[in-house]
Amino acid sequence: MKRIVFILLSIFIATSAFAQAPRSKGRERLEAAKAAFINQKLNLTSDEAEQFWPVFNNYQRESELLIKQRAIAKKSGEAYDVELDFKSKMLDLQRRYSQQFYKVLPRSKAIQVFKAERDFRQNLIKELGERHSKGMAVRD
Amino acid sequence: MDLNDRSELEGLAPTLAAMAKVNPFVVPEGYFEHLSNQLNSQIKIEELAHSNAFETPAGYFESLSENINSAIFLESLKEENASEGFSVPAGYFEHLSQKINKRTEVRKSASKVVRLRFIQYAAAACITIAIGAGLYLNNFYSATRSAEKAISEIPDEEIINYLQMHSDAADTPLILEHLHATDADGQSAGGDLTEEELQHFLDTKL
Repeated sequence: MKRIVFILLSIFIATSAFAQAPRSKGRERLEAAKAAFINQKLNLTSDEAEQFWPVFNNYQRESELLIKQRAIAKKSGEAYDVELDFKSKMLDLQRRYSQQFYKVLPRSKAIQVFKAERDFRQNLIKELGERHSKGMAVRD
Repeated sequence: MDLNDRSELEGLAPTLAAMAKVNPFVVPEGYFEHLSNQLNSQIKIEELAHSNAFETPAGYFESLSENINSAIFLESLKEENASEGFSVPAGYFEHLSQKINKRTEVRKSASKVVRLRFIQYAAAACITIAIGAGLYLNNFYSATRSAEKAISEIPDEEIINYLQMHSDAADTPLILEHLHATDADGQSAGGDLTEEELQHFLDTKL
């Protein structure tokens, strides 16, 4: 009996620790939706997904870093220059990662990765527009 | 006739006259003492001779040869092994019941413990698997469920944040189309993306 209680307790502690992600719930939902969307768009098999996601997550991390740098740079520098600089860096990043996507995905899927990301953005825009036109909002 | 007239008798039957006047018949010794006994046993024997007084056990003759053979075998075994051939350790039968009891007791308790443990572990494993599968499936599901539904659950604020950070010039037409239209109609934009914000948003794109 004691042992069962102990096991249950340890599981609860483990799950609660697991649930304490550093990101907000909204951010988590967005990332889950993005992952689901890209997965669906690229029609990844489980093998492909296993290979693809670590690479894509690295790409996301690096692109987030560039975006943060841009936000900081914009506070002091000229927005136009900052944006140009950001774009060129982003292009380099995407070029670099597209090579890696070719390695882990069939060509037909690899060329769609950035397009899928863009489509996801566009779906977000449409979703937001739809919500506005219906006068409803989704809160965290 | 006058018996005393010996001369006449001697004339008629000299042999008879010569015989002594004694009892010439003899019986074996104790003849009359055993006579009734003998008669009785003779009668018994006669009776028995006519009825079938001898009975054999059922299957006697059928198993007779076998019995004889086994008897012979036993005899030969005994000849081969002068001693009994079987030996038991000293005190074997004295401690036998104790030993058996001990063993059965140990086995019972051991099997009981194993069974209980098995159930405990099985229960623990079931719970762990259920929770683990729940967590995994939840993650898996949230990642693979229809992307539309997932998008519909993202808070407005988060979408705006993301779009402000990630969208580029290529998205501008779409942003104008979808997010500016409501304002153009003069309706409330729900307060999430004001004209000002949208302008700022668009300004930052090339």
